[in-house]
Amino acid sequence: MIMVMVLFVLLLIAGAPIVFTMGVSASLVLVGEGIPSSIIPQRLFAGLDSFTIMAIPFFVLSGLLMERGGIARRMIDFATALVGWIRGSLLLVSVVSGTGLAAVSGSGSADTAATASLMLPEMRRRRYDIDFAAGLMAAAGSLGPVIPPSIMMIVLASVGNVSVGDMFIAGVVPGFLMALGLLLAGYFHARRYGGVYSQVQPFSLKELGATALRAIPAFLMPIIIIGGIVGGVFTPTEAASVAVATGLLVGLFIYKELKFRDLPRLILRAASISASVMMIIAVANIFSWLVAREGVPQLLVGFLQSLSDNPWVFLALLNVGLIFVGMFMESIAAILILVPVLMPVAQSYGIDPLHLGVVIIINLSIGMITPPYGITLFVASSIAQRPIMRVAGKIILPLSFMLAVLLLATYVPSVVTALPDLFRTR
Amino acid sequence: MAPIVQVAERVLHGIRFLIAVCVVVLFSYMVVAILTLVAGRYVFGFSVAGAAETATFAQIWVIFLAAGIAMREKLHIGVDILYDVLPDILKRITALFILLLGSWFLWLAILASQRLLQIGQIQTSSALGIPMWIPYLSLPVGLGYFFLEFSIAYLKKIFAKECADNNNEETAL
Repeated sequence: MIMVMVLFVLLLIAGAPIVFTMGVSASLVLVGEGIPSSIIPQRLFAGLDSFTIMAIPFFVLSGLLMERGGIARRMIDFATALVGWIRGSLLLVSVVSGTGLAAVSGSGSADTAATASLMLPEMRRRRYDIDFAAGLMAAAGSLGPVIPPSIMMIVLASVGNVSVGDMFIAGVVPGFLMALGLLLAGYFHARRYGGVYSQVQPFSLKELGATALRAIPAFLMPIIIIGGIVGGVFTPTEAASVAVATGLLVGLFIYKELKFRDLPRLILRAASISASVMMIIAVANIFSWLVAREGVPQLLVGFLQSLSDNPWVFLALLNVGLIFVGMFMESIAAILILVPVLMPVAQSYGIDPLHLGVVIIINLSIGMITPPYGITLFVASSIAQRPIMRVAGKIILPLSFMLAVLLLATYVPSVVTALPDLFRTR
Repeated sequence: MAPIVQVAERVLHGIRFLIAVCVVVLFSYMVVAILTLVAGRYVFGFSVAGAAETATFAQIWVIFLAAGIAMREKLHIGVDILYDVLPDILKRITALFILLLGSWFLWLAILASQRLLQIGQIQTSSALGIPMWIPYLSLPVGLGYFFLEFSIAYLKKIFAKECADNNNEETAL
């Protein structure tokens, strides 16, 4: 077993795709313990034989359709009219746009790429601190997993036996608190460094109305998804398919920036992005089968309860551990490996699985901006053409606001559970 | 370029085209099936039996087939910070190490899926009674294509200079 763990770490740091890191390690355990190899295709198949996770390819496609269809630009226009009159305007616009895109697509890195590509040239022209701006945009992009729709939430819900709809609703308050924190981070930075951040555009109600009108089709997406799920009209998978139809209608017939000839390429792109995520789900299914067979959750329950039977201490340990994991591991893989182990442990401490799920998601979204494996940090620094460690050095202020929301969500569970309870979705 | 290489490249191009067409068609079917499911329930007032089942089977095919496309497009996630700073020779050795172990895993999965196909001959799906060998066939076919693209990607890493010309020709295709 130790040899297998060593191999797992070796493959991971050697840069092997996570699919192979997990697949090779799990297969070695099977072969070593004399378990028939037919378990491998069975678990791979079972990992994908799920109606719930079909929401992933649909949300990926709807995000691509909306972005290709011109939504990002209209979202930025609206955000500029909304907060462009405040000091440090472009920083705030990038946070508002990132939050808006998070409510449309399921991918944090795609949101970061869209915002950074559109915002950075003007920020450079105005001589903003590009390292800070890229860090702030990476942080705004990392809200993607917390604000619905979220691919990470779908994956967590499917392995943790939590309702996807409940997860989506529960992410709304923490997500918007994090967005508020990032707006404050941008504003404080602009106040502190004055000068270059003082250029703003005057507030105009007419402009706000006009840009809002143009962005209305974009706002349809979260309304359909959240409204449909809360109202019990759709399952999350059905809501995702309706989101695809909305994306097609908006892009083809309202914004008219999408062409029929673009569709095969976009569908192929959505399929390959989804495959890169869902193959990890399939392979992790072998992994979680082994974890359950070896009784790892029970061992961990025993070990942790011997340390402390206080749920607050467990949550503190969980946060420290997950931030560390998020720094080194891809989020979906981390969810697939850890959630089957953590859920029973948390339940032994009397922690609500929905609460735990959102705390895990917030932790892993913070992991997206912490080096060495911070995916949105990579995207933002690469588009900004700045060294990743320079950008990481400027992430402290936005990160501290995100950590504050993490603590709030951890120790005041109603921040997470109040909205699902209010809408009686559970 | 040797005629055999030209033929191999044409075959590869044909396989890639065929896989891409299958993925687009099956993905489109998934969207249409689920939209029909929703429309059937709310607009027409009837339940479209089996739409969810066939869409789920289409999803399994899409993901296994698109895994190879994702490999070709370098979309499979890995932590390559350390790999990027390795000296050239160590990069090649690391790539060989990953290629051997990854190929072993895929080969094991493809071989073992034969047993699943045998079971699929007598097993049918719960809603529509579809023979289960149809969705199970996605495993050897999809993983086989994944193996092909994985091998090409890592052989290129191992023989980077030698493959430079081939890359250019492939792009031209």
